[in-house]
Amino acid sequence: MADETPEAIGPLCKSILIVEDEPSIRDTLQQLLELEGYSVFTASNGAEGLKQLRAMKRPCLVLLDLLMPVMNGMEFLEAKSHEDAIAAIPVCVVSGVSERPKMQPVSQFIKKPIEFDGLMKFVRQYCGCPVPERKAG
Amino acid sequence: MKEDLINELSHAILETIREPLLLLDEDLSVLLANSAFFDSFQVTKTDTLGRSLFELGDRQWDLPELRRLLEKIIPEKAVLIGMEVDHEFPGVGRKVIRLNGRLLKGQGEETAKILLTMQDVTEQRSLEKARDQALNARDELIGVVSHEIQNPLTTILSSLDLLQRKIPQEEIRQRLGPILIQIRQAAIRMKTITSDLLDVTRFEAGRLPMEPVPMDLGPLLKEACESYLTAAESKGIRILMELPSQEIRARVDHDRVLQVLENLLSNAIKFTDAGGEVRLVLSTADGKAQISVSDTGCGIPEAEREHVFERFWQSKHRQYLGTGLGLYIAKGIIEAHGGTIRLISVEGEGSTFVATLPLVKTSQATGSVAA
Repeated sequence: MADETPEAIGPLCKSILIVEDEPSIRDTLQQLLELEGYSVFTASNGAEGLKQLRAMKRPCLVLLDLLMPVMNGMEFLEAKSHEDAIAAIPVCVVSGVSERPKMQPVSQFIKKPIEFDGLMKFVRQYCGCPVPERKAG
Repeated sequence: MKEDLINELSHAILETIREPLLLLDEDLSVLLANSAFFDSFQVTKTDTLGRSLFELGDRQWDLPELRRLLEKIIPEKAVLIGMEVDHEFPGVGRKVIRLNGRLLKGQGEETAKILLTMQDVTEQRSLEKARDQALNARDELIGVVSHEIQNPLTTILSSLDLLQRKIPQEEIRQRLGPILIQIRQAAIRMKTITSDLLDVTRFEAGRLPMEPVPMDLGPLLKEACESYLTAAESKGIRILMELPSQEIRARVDHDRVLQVLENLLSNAIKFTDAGGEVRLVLSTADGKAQISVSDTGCGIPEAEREHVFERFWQSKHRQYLGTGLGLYIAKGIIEAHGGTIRLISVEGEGSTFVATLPLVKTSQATGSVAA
């Protein structure tokens, strides 16, 4: 879960939501992205992710795993596409599935295992550089 | 030859054949059956001779499709090939019988007959089924293992990144550097092994997904090159790329052809010593797009050349161990695109892999996704 509430994040800060059920991946990615200067929110399944997305200030990107309990990534994408307020938020699917799933154009796909430098290319593409004040991590 | 001698010989032949066999008249009634028929189906002459094929046993042959095919044999001189009947035969049990039928008509004979042979393929089919089940189970296992390994590998790789970023002192970072690189290389090798295994399994099952679309091959070559620039530089190898000024378009699955190029480039870099060079050239030849990847490495001995695209082929240079699947998969991908891949190598001077792909004509170039 997120360490900070959406209200605690300054208006200039660029945020990313990670929806991933594997705690070790979720935590390391969160720490890495925070070190890069982004503020990071996490959810451990699609349902939690949707809840976060509705509550938080619009993030610049969602990193989404596919195979998760409760609500999987494809169900998350489907539900998200029906809610106007969050439908356009870009999603980067990060999954170990062997075949690239059929997705709406809003989404990108990166196959696990990911390398952080590769992931950062996508993050920068959607989020640009983080605000300098948070660079210290 | 006298007629009774011919009959005697025919009878002897029929009785020697171990495959059940029936001779049917124009009405598809049984004129003759051999001993193998009676033995196989545990029936008597009374049960069989003079009766319609479709009334035999518990009417197991009374199938609309079989009736249709048999009725075509005499008027159309058709043949029945390999129709299989899977049935629980009374007193015999379940059997899969493969039927073959053809017209028999001697010169001057007025009435035509049908020769129907019945091959018992029960064991063959059951072995095939067991084999398919075993293959499916293997594929499923490889799929699950490959997929499940991705998560721990992601954790290892991103934890390494985190570790590198969190080590505060430069001195410690430098001391730990080689160890961290070693861990990373091992994790990346595991990543290659699992994805090769998964690809080969899907490729052999005909399930390697490909969505070819027409595209210019130049940017694809650039993309492949970019991912290997650092690796080549750190080994002291130059990568040279020669692209033509005009577009060369082919219908390709971007990710899969990129995978082939990356495989060829990574091999070229692997087998080339510092100071050497790797050359990537895009051209057209004989009306086809041609991509060649050459290196100035150790080359491949003549005896090994014909085997390089085989499954599990490994270079004799044991320090360069891989899965032995990369070139096998590469060949499969290129051939699935209607292309070819070949090797030209001179031992001690280097190797060149040449892949060709069918060109897309300009009028086709704007087409949509291919099946």
